[in-house]
Amino acid sequence: MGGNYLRRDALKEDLKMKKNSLRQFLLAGVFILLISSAVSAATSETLNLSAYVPDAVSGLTITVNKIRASDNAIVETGSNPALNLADFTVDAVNNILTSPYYYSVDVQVNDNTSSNWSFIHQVSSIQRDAQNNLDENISVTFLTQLQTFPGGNTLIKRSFKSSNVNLSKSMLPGGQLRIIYGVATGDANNDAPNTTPVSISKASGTYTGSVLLTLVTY
Amino acid sequence: MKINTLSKKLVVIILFFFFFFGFIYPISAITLPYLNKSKVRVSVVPGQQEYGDIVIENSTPDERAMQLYLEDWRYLPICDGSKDFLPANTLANSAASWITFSPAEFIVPAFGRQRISYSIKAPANASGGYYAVLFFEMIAGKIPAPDKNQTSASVNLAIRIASLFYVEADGTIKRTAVIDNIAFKKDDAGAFSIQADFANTGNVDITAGGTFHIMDKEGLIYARGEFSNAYSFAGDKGKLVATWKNKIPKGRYDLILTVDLGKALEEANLGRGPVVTREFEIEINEKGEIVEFKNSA
Repeated sequence: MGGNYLRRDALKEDLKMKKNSLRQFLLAGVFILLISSAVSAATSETLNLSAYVPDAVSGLTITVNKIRASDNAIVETGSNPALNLADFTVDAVNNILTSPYYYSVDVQVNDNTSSNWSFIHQVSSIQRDAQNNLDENISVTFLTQLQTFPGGNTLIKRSFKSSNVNLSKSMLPGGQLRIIYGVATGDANNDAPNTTPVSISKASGTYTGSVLLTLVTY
Repeated sequence: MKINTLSKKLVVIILFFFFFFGFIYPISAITLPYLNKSKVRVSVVPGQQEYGDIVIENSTPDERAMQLYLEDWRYLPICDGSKDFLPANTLANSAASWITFSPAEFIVPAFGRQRISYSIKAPANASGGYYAVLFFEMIAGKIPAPDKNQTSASVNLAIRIASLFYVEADGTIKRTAVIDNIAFKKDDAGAFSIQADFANTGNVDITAGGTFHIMDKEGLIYARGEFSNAYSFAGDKGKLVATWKNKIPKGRYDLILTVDLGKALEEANLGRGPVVTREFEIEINEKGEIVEFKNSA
C-alpha cells in the first residue's frame, strides 16, 4: 500500500513538472513573439519581394493502389506504375477465374493556371497472343476521386477494350481522377457493360498490356 | 530521465518530418516533373531556323528518367480543344520533321532540372501553320516477368506530359473564318441559347471565342455571356455555343455577337487576332418567348 502511495506521489510530481514545463514553454513562446514584434515594429522597413511562380499545368501525380475487394482496404501502394492482375482464384461454382483484388490509379493534375487541359487514357490490348486477350474481362471505371475506396462519382464505366477516353478539366473537379481496374465478376451491378468474367477455360499463359496516360493543355 | 527526454524529442522530430514530407510527397506517389512551356508558338521565316529551349523541373526527392519523342497532333472534330495524337509525319501539316531537340533521354536529378534545346527549320516553301507535339514520357519500371507456368495478367502504365508546337511560316499566315447559321433559341427548360457555325477558312489554327450582349434600344444590357471556345486547324468546322439561363422581359432588343479569332495569339502574347462582330434584332413577348430574330438592317 505504502509503495502505491509513493508511486502515486511520484506520478503527481511528474505531472506537475510536465505542467510547469509546458507553462514555461508557452510563456517563452509568447515572450519571443512579443519581443520579435516589438523589434520588428521598431525597425520596420518595406521590402519589395518578387517571386516567380511557374505555370504548373503540366504537373501530374500518380498513385497506384492494390485494393482488397472484400473490404476495400489498401494492401499495397506501389511506386512501380504497373498493375499485376495475376492474383486469380478459381470460382469452381461458376467456372470462372476471379480476383480478390482490384487496382486504383489515382491521378492528381497539378494546375495553377486558368488554362484548360485534358487527360487522355489510352490502352493497348492485354493479350497473350493474337487470339487470346483479356480486353473484355477487365472493367475500367473513371471516378472523381475521394479519400475512401472505391470513392467518388462514376464518370465512365467501360471494358478495358473500349476505355480510351479523353477527360477535360471541367469533368474533373480539383484535377482529381480515380481509375479503377478490376477483373469482371459476373455481377452486372459491379461490372462494366460488355465485360464478362474470365472463363476457367481461358488459355493459360502470360497476358500483358499497357495503359498510356497523357496530360496535355488545350 | 535524459534518455527518456531525448527519445521523446527524437519521436517528435521523426513525427514532424513524417507529417511534413508525407503531405508534400506521398509515399509511393509518382510525381512527374513540370514543364515550363506546355505550348511553343513560334513564327519562322521559310528557309530559316529558330531556336529555343524547354526546362523540365523535378520537384521531388526522387530522380526521374525521361525519354522524349515527337508526334503529330490535330484537334478532334468536336473542336472543343480535345486532341488526337498520331505518329510523327503522318499529317500534311506536320512540323515533326522540322524539329530537332537534345537530349532525347536523360535523368532529372532529385530537385533538379534539365534544359532541352530545340531548333525548328522551316523549308523554303512552307506556308501556313504546322504542328507537332514533344512528349516527355517517364521511363517507369515494369512488372518482372512472371512464372511461365502460371496464368498471369499485367498492365504497365506509361505516363507522359506534352509540349505542343505551333509553327507559323512567317509572312504566309491567313487567319480567317466564316461565322454563319446563327441561331437564337429557347429550350424547354427556359434557357436561351445562341449557336453559330464556325469554319476556319485560313491556313493556320484558330482558337475562336467571344461574347454576346442583349441590350435594349437605350443601351441597357439585359443579358451577356461568353461563347465556349472553338479550337480548329485550317479547314476545320465547329460550333460556337453560349447560353443565358435567366428570363428576358418583354421588349425589343439588339443582340450583338463579338467573336475573337485571335485568342491563341493573345494566349502566347503574340498580339491580337481579327474580331468579327454581328448584330441582330430580337423581340421577346410577355411569356418570355422569342417572337422575332433577324439580322440588323
